[in-house]
Amino acid sequence: MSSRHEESPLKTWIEWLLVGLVLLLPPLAWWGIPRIPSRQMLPVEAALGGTRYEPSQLRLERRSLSDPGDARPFIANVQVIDFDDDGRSDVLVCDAKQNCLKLLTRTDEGPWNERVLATDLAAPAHATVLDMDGDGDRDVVVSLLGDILPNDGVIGRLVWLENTGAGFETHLLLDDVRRVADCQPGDFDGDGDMDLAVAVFGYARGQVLWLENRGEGRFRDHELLNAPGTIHVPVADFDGDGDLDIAAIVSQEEEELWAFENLGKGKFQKRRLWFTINDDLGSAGLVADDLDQDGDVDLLLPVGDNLEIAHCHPQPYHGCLWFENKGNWQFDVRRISDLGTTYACAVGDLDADGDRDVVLVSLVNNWTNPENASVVWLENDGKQNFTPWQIDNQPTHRVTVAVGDLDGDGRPDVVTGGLHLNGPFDRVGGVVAWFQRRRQEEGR
Amino acid sequence: MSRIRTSLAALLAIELLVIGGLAWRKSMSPVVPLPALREYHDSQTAAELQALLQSPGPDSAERWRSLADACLAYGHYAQADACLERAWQRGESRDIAYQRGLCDSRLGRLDKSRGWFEKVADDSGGLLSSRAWYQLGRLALRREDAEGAADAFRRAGDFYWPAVYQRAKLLVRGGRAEEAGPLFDRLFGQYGDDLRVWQLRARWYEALGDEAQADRAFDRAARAYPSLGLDDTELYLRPIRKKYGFVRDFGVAQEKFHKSNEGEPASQLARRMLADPLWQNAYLTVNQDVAQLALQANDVESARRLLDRQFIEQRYPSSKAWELRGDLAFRNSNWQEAREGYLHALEISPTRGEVETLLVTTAEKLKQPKVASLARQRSVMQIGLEMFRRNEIMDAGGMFSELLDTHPEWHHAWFYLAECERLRGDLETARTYYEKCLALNPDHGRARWALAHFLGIKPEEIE
Repeated sequence: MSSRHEESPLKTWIEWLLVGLVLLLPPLAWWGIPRIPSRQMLPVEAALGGTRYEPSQLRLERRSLSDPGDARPFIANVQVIDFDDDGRSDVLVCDAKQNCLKLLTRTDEGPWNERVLATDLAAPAHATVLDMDGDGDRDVVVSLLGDILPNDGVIGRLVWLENTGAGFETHLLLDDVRRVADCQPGDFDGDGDMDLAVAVFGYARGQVLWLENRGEGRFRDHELLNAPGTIHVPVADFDGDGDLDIAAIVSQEEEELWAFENLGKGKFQKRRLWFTINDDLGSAGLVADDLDQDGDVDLLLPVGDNLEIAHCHPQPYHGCLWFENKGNWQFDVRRISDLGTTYACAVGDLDADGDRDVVLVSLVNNWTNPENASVVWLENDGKQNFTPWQIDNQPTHRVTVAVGDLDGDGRPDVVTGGLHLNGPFDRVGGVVAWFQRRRQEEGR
Repeated sequence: MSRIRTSLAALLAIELLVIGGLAWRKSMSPVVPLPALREYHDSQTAAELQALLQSPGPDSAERWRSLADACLAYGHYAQADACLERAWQRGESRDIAYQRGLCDSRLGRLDKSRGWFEKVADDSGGLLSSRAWYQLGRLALRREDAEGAADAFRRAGDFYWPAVYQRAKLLVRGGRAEEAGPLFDRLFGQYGDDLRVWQLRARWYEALGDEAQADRAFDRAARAYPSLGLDDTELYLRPIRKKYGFVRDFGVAQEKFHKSNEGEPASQLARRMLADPLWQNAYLTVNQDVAQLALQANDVESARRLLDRQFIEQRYPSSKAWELRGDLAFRNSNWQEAREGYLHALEISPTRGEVETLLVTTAEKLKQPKVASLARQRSVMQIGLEMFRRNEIMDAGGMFSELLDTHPEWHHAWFYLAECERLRGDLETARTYYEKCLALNPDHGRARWALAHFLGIKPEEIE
């Protein structure tokens, strides 16, 4: 009896310990098991698409011209222009999220100053600067999508911001149309005033129009093409006959390059210059430029806009196409770059060697690989053979680019805008420029 | 007592065995390396995807397929690819091969993708086979191989409509429009109101040189709606995105409110959104969507805070956000502020008839009869336009007539009333109305075109 009594505390202690362990183990396991690292990770291929290039030999220094704060910027368009005639380049910005038109100007102190020129503009896609009323100042015609997201509604507009000296007065030029993506001026009917070519992108339905200037701010609309997804309508004398023609890139149901040959007196002949059956190509814009400097106007087509897919990815056919004008409405097409999801291009002589180089930006160049390029330039060897050079891998999601001398040092700089619709959001940027600095050999 | 100890020891041993087994299974269970989820998703979606991808589960083909679906839907293609590889190892099947084809197609690996679809495509006439042939056709288009595309679309079968459409399109684009007639007859039998079919029909007539028929088809396309789904990958992935995280909860809260007037889920969701530092990762209009739901559910404070955040932090002064600001003021009978909100909303999006209706009430409260009257007219015009675009011609005509009875200066209304009359077959009346439109606005391009068409002259000859 006595020995049983002596054993009891230890046994009781053991029993309590057992009870405690039995009760504690399940919650501990509940907490701990999920935290046990797996010894077997599925192999994931790291570099699944996207393109990267050798770093640029030009010294280009990145600098943000606008502070996006915590927001995800939606910059639809940037242009380099001396808007206020002070002899310095400004940057005109269409902000499709803040629904406004902004002007970024360089201050003497260095930072860039941001001025909002007009608000309550529904998703501005492009701003065209011109003297609309012939009063000697700069007016702006703004192409309004109405919604930056896919939308087939009749929600587009074209507005004229009349420069009154004290500010801008808004006039409606065109409504009752779907999303308007671009507008370019030109005297198409030879009557001495400024008419307008208009790209109605829409979504499932769209048009190319030209608006005949009837004076006193009145315009008469004429349809040139009924097709969805017209992005840009560059205006130039493509056939060298002395009048202005219109080109248009169609990108939705079809991927087609059209020209509207000016026959005079407001008459146009429609010509399909090129098309592809690859309707996933993703035409993203159209730029007119005499790339080979042979005296006629060529066209550059950045391809890689597959935003109809929720999460698009670089494809082997993305990049930039050059349509060389061979005369008589014949264009030879050549692919000059393979940058994944190329969204915009601009032309300028970046390396000051007398030929035309090209700058490209990418929307979604598989950003899971941090080395992939967001901005590249294509060096022209003078014979239109292009070598790609990577300018930067950030910020990501670039959709618009322009080239111009931003800091007045005589060297062309590059400015871009970002559209951060999807992730990753680790390298966000609004209006970001790359300033060309003197190369070391030049310094010596 | 001894028995108790023995039982406890036995229980403990069983627990240790089970836990050890589970721990071993966890450590041996393959998991998917995570993408940087917080750089792509709101907090909740990121947490759910992390749990989904890293929780132990059966190493079965079915489970890996389902994980691949989630990764594909959110664009995490490398992870999807890895899951599908594992699924294939665990049990090869035509379904997995098809899914691998889709994944490789998205990744731009066109040859690999073709290899997968070729494993699925056969002459059985089954749905999966038809879908695989269709995808093979699309891949051929992407390689600009017209003949390969035509062959693959043909083998997808006569009743796989996306492929029938693509065949017709290839014929029209390839200079063989005259062969496309039978395909159009069949497409029309099945999708007689479809937008794409009308547009392609217009291009077909153009290719055949029949401009008048082409004009008619384009005219009809203006009032048609898409019903023929072509991008079946996107159609497959979209519902998956609604199964996770914030988007799912929003759908649930919305349904609960609309079906049973239950406001608490909406309110909870709004509060969760306000606390989430990654809310902007969700999607562009997430904030205003939740603010609207919160306001409907009477959680005014959350709605106000969400809207303030949209204007200040998100820097997104959308038409909807201005409208909701107007609604907040409206609830507090602050008519002046409500009017400002609605005017901003309409300045940004002038085609929102429902905001015009709200402006009518606000302007009446402010005793501004002119503003109210104009808003009422615009509202009627917008309702008419929406009916017209839905091809509800009789009703639309009624709205335009109502507007013109009191306000005959609306040239747009005359144009659309003329369009209604034309579509009803009363060409003489239509002509009169086009003329009325042009008398008010001689630069109305479409009215000029339509009138010239009637008169058999060129638009520039109309003065």
